[in-house]
Amino acid sequence: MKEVDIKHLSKLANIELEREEEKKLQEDLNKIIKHIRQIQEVEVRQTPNTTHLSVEALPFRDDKKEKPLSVKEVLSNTKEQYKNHFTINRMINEDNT
Amino acid sequence: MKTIPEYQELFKKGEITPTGLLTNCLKKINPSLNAYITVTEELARKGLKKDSKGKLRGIPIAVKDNINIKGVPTTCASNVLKGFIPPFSATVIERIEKNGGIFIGKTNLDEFGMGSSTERSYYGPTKNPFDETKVPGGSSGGSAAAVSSGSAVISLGSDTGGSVRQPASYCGLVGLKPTYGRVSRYGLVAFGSSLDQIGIIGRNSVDVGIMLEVIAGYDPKDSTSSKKEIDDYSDLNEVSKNIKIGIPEEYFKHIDPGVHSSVMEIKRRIEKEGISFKSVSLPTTGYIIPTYQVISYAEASSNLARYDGVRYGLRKNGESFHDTIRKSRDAGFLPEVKRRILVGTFVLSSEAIAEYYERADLIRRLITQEFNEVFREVDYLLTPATPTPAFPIGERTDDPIRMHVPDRMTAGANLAGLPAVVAPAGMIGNLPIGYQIIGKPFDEKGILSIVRLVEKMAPFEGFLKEVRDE
Repeated sequence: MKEVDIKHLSKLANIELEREEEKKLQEDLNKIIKHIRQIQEVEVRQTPNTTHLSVEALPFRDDKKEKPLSVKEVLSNTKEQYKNHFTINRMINEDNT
Repeated sequence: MKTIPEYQELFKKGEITPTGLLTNCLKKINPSLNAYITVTEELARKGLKKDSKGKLRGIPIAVKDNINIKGVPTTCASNVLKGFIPPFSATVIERIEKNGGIFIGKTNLDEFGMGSSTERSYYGPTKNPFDETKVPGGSSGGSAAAVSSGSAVISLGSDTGGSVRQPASYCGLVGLKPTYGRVSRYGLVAFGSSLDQIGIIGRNSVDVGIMLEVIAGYDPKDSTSSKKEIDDYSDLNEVSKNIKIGIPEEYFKHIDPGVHSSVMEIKRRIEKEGISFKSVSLPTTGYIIPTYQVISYAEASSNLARYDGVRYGLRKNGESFHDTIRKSRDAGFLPEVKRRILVGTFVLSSEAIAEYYERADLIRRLITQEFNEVFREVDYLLTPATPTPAFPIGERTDDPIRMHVPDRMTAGANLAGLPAVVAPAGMIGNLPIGYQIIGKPFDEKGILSIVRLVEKMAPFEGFLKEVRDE
């Protein structure tokens, strides 16, 4: 079994890992993936996909306009805001604009 | 040990008051158990002032801290949600409020519901009220410890792979995971969306039935909630003699001998009532844990992508937008959540999806088909709730695979979307253990009625009384 590339996965998952933590998680991940590999033993050629869980068709709700949360409520959990917007780091380099 | 209807009767007669009951419950909050992340005494007292006549009038209820109550912090036992105060309540919370229930506090859990012991919490481990050196189970360990120690009459939890039922077993309680779609998930913080259901932990089946009657039913805010009519769950007195209960042999392998004999004793008692049993087989049972791991980790990696530090919760500012997100997530999550996100990311990645996620999805269908076939022969299944009683705190924290062992009994019902209930079967030493009844979709009334039948025959009050009674 190929070792998982933890650097690639942590980049995909958007988690920065300290070096020590990365080493420990690499070991854990290899153990977990070895464990879940057992599912390769099950014969599933005749089995269809899981498309839904419910025994009935999912109901549609009425197509009615509902009252949404107010802008104030939506922004209530961050201090990092400016004129009714969330603020984040600049994404486009000034030189390229 | 009073039931909710008995409390209502005592309120009516004026023998006790809702304020008196709340005061008693508050007194029973034991800081050493660490069952609560937030105690909401003020909210509870405010709730008492409302002139409510509902089924839960004046009943102190504890709520797992991954279910939103408007204006009260929701932490999910994670640093990543530091300071988050939800601007809306879960549908179940609104329904309980309408029925007069009052909220005593938000209970501890494994971070985002990921664990079987309530040790993996940013707020420290919860302890088992029967033995403080043991875990209360998880991830709804705080909700179980609160009810078991008498600080709440009943509680809400969430069950993705057994997180309501396994703590109920370890703490001597009744724990129900309803059919997928029976109870609205709106306002429950998502972990594995195709597996998650809000569940109930109570002292007996009557209380659990009443709570289910309040919270169950269609909710337009959850697109997977069912329009199927709800049953009268407060009447659990009818069990037909014509039902047949299956004993799936795979669930009785590799279990503690004490668990085996206790569950067999439950079988004998039900048999005495004239109900017949049949041995059945669910051959794919051995693959339930790895299948559950692949599907739940995959869904978790997607669901937890929302914690980016931008709109709420912890933010660690970095040099760039992505740097800020990566730093916030690193500082916010504990190791188990990171492990699951990373494995979930792996099983969904282009090189691994066919071998892992898609295959697990097929095995899930196979597991569901096996349950469906067995339910043509029998009406219910009787199994142990957990392979052993509660294990020592610290024993499994470093072993991400061994921690999943108890899920073997419970996660099948989540994969197949079936209702299942756990109730006390007996004691092993000083620790309670439970049995589990799994039913056909939407037969919550049936499974609770069997638990009621067992309760009426031989209530396990003797050993539970000491810990819980007021």
